[in-house]
Amino acid sequence: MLDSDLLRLIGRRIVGLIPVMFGIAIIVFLVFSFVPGDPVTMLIGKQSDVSEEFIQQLRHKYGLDRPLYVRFFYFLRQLIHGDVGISYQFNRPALEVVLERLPATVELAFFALAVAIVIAIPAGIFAALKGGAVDRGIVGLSVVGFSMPNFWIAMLLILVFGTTLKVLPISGRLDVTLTVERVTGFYILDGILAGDWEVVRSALSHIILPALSLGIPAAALIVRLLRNNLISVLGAEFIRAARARGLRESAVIYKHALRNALIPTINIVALQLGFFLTGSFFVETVFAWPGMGRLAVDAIYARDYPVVIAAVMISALFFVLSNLLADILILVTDPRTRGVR
Amino acid sequence: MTLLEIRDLKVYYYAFDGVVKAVDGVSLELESGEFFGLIGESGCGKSTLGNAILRLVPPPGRVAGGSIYFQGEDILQLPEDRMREIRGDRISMIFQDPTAALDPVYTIGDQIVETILAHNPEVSRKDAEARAIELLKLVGIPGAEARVHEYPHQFSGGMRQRAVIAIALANNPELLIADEPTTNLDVTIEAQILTLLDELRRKLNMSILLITHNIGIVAEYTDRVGVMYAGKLVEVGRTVDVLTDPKHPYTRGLLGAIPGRGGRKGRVTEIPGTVPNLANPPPGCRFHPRCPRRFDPCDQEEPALVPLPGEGRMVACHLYRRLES
Ligand SMILES: Nc1ncnc2c1ncn2[C@@H]1O[C@H](COP(=O)(O)OP(=O)(O)O)[C@@H](O)[C@H]1O
Ligand code: SF4
Ligand SMILES: [Mg+2]
Repeated sequence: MLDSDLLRLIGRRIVGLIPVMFGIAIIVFLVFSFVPGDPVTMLIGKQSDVSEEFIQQLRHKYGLDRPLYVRFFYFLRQLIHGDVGISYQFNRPALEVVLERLPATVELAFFALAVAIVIAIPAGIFAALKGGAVDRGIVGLSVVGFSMPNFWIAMLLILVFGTTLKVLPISGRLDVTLTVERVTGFYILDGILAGDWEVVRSALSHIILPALSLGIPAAALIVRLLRNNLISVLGAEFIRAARARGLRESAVIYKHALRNALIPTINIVALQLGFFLTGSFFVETVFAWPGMGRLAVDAIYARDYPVVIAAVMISALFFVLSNLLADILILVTDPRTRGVR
Repeated sequence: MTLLEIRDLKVYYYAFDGVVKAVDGVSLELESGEFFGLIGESGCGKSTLGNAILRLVPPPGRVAGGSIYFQGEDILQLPEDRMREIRGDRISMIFQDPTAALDPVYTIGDQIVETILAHNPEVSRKDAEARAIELLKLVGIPGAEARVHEYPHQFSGGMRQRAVIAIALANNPELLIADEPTTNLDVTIEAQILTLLDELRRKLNMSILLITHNIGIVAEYTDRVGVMYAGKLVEVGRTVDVLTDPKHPYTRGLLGAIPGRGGRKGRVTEIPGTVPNLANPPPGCRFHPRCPRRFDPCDQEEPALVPLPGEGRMVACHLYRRLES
């Protein structure tokens, strides 16, 4: 039953994804057709020595002098072949530009999620079980953590660990003196593959602060949710019944209460993962992290819409994938969701 | 033989707005193998008493005094890990709502198996699984071999309560506390479940403490009955004696509420007034504000539970003290 449920779920998500990706691409294209400024003017910027004639030539080269419906038609034709166009900034296929930045974002997302989970799960359990002052303390911290925007946390971390204590690097993914052969694009993994522990160490130390900046507000949110769920589950009749069956307190809490409390937490965790995977412009900017979020925002300013479209489509893909992951986890942990259509 | 002896038990809830004396000096004996009914209106402290026997009174409730001897040992004095060994092994409990009493994310089989293994670590998982199937058959669940792998939501209400009973019986308890086990079920299923419990009681030689507010059920199934009112036990005796010749005005009120014996209408509703606030119970006899027969000492002196002629017959009412002297 689980297998057929899984297949149906995956099938439905993937099928649903295709129109979403197309829809998003079209919307972004149309929005960019109506905002003022075009890639060429942005590219040339304030350079005053460029002749009007040259600008017109460039426009013509990129087809920007054609009417909107013609450009839209070409765009659609490209899109059907899975091509979103050439980046105006980089003069290379936009998808390639985005995919190049992807490992940086995914690596950071993975660590941010790890930070969030490692902080949130023990803290949530601890708060729910201890109650009293411990609980109020953790809840208070989570309110603070959640209400601080992550770029603000980033500034704070830079100030403390980077500028004052000088224990952690605050910019980039790797010491400038180091290089590693790009295999996966995940520097930590590439370092391990190359057996270069200096690279691994450097990459790890670079990722800590950005991962904390992204992970802390997420942790704060998850802590609250897990704590509330756990407290409500601990008051449930089946927990009292489990005690009445003579189960050990550890089994009552970790086998019965925690599993039930985690189920409604999974969706929120997946949502956070979705946000991380689409890249955080602020955190990537503050830490000069060469990820997708920053690339996308820069591309918006440059009116480099093929890059924006590629980034948004990849983001949508990641959102769907993290939701799919959540659905699968819920299917595995909650039998009530199985076999229902 | 006495299986359980409760002496002067006090269980209080230490709530914000005062101490709720939910069980306030109850003494009660249960014999081996007997079917005992505990009856009273909602809010009289029946569940609190049942929970106290397993030491599972939810906070802010606490046992404030008295003792509970189970086979001669005061279980209120046991360390928590020894108490855990008794729960689900020698004393089991089934609850009002079988749906809420089962963990939704584990199979029925898992929940039986873990209950067996919690008390018999030497048993292999395979043997425990075989026993789980045997138990499901014992409680009359058809297709036990397949259903042991199913989840609670795949069971109907009646089947769920049977599964809960199977879990409770997993380790052959000597005492089964059943707190309104059929309140959420329809009448035919209610009769099936109670008949099943009665059969199992005989077969496995266990005692049942059945908590209910349904006099019809007490009449049909129990050997003895205790009547609780506002945290006190006001009358005890053999079921036939108490129901044919109730002594306490409260018991009479309860019986007056049934038009015909044994029917579903045997709900306790028709005594005028309500159960008093147990944080601030009336002085003297707690029933006096509602008692049609109250007289002089009733609002001053608290009546003690005293023996009457008849096997194990006891009543707490000034009417009988007067007769006696
Ligand atoms: N958690 C609690 N906190 C405070 N008072 C409670 C709590 N649980 C039960 N009580 C009170 O204790 C009394 C007895 O309740 P209970 O044992 O559930 O009665 P019954 O099972 O006879 O309906 C009631 O007055 C109820 O309000
Ligand atoms: S003691 Fe008095 S008030 Fe209480 S039940 Fe007996 S007669 Fe009624
Ligand atoms: Mg009750």
